[in-house]
Amino acid sequence: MTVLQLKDISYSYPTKRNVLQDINLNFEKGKIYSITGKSGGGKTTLLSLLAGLDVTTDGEVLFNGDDLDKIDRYKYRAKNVGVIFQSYNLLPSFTAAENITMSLDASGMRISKPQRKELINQLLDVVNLEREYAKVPVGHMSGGQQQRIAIARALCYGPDVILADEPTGNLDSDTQDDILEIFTRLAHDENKCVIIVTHSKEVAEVCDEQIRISKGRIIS
Amino acid sequence: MFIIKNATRNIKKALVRNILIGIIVLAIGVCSTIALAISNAATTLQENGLANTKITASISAIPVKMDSAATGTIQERRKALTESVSGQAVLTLDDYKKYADVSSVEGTYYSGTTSLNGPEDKAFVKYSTTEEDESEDDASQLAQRGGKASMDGGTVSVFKLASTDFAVTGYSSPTAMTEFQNGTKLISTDDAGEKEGAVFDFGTDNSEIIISDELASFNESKVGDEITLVNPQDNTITYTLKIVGIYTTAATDSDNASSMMGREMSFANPANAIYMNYETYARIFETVQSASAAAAAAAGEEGVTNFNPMEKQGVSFTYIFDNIENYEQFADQAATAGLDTEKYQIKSTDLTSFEASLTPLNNLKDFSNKLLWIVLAIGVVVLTIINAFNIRERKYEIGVYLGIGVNKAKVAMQFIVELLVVSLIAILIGVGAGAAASPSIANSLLEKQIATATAETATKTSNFGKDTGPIVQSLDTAAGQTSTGPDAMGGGPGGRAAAAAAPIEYVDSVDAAVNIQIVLELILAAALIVFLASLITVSSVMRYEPLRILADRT
Repeated sequence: MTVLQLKDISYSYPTKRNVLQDINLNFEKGKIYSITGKSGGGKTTLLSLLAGLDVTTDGEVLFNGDDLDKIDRYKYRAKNVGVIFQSYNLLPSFTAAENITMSLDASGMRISKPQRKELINQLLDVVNLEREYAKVPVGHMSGGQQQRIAIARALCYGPDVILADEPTGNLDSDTQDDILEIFTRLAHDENKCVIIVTHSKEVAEVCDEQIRISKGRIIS
Repeated sequence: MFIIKNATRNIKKALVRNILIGIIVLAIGVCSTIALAISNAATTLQENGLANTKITASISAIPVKMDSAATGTIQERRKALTESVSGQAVLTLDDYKKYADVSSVEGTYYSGTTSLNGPEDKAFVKYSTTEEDESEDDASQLAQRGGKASMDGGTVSVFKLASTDFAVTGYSSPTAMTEFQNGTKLISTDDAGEKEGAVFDFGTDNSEIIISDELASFNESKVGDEITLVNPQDNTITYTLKIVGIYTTAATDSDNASSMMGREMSFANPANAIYMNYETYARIFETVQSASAAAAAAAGEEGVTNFNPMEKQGVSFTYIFDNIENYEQFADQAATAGLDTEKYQIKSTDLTSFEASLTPLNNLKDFSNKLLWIVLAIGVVVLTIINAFNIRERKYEIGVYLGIGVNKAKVAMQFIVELLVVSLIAILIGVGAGAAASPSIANSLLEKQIATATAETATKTSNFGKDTGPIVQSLDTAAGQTSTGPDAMGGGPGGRAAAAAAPIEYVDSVDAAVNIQIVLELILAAALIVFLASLITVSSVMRYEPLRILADRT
């Protein structure tokens, strides 16, 4: 089932034209996608358009058939997609639990305090992090641990789409495998649509669909 | 919900930053509380100071224009001036009583003053006794001053002090005797501790008088004696009056204006003031007037010799009001009753003196108001700057919020709530601290204001070489004497002249208490400061784009 659709997408920066040209893609639930390509090829820009962090120059981004230009992008990001940033974008002085809770509150999801605690524990289990880390400020955690917290934060409100920008770029190979396993499980077991922007061939090979971009165009 | 929760979370996380903001707001709160408390206390005092106080007022003639008397020979100018003054309608006692018969007037009293002579033109009563004088025996003193008062079996003493006038004042009621009411004068006590008589009875012409202890001492008079005074216009007319009391004057300032005047003019000497009831006075005054008119007719200068408005008017009438509102109604009601408001004015010296007493407090209030605005302005500027740095420092945090889907309005609101919560807590602590400090600081500042005002008066005295008394001082005293306008001259030696030198009693303490209104005003002020300081937050957040912030960090 198509959850995200790009129709004739083009994008230009004020200083750089045709960063993306005539992009047409469909993303379905239950699948894990990789977007690869050289640096400056437009991978992250594409992800930003999918996340509603930027707007297209031409074309439409449709979420469940609705044009992102016509819906509240903040609400879309808060409820429908989970974005995992390359640099995690967590608040370092906040604990893991607080970072996750902040995202829960932003989504408007209302659950009791015990339920919230249980949900956080479950999320930490999902990302293979010990529950004790809930109370640790993320600034005190390693890159791998922070990446797991960023994934947990992206999952906490149950979005249909997970967007991950270089999720394993700063991680060692063991942790990378671990993270990829999580994504695979989310797509295949929990019917999420997972879209990963990566440089890594290893990561791309794990994915169900591989999309290659070069000079702003899809080449395969 | 997100806003409140996240704001609370952030306040706890950034405790040091928020304590710093809190200290600044606390300082603003303390200063503002003190300023508002002072201002509020001054306003309350101004508004309510006379609310439950009886107010007295009098009707006086509006001063005439002297243009017509400015040219011609001395004789012509004198005549023009006399006609100008005499041409003014003079209110009679009946007129005054007619205006008193209106709803706003709670009561009245009145008095009149004229001058009488002793039977011989020789002696005078000295205002104060010098050491040299005290060394001399009474007989020699009296001999020097024109002769010993003659006694007749101890019951009648004929005053041989006729070289100058006595000021004779008649009062309608005890209320009219304001100097006795306020303790400036009082019935004296003899060596045995017994009161020397009492104030005369009111209501009937009983020829009873009270005289000063100095006059009594000088003439060896005592309660029960009778004295004979002489009509100044016709020395064949005499008045026999019975001493029923001897009074003393609490004020002993021998350097004031009245004493200086008393050295030159006996009737102006406070010791020569003789008091009686109005009925006795009225009888005497009528004969003085008649004799004056006859003397003028004989001299062929009618209207010229009768120039003295005090002699013509004779009565000083005071209206009493329950409150300020009634006083303010009186002008209209008196006009309806027939008072010509183009020629007469109604003035309350209570109000004038009350306002004068508030001068230091009003200065303090002005200072407080300015301080308040300066503090608030500085508060806005400082908080805006801190907020600007705060926003800059938290730019990444804002990017994260926007990135996870918190909209800009919520992010801006969260920052405002953070600042508001910190500010309100600080303001409330500031109000508490300010409330505790307000009374002592307010009174300390007021003390300095009074010192300044007093120093200004002292400087003026130094400039003049004598105590001229500030304008308000003379007004200050008239409440009891109804001595504004032409009738002021009738205040008599024991009246206006003596009281005019009394210093202003400044309001020297203020109850700068903090009430709920001040608390609410400060909370409102804090909200306003936060709002203004937050404008930069809102504009910054609205300009920020999450992708750019997060990309920069990447």
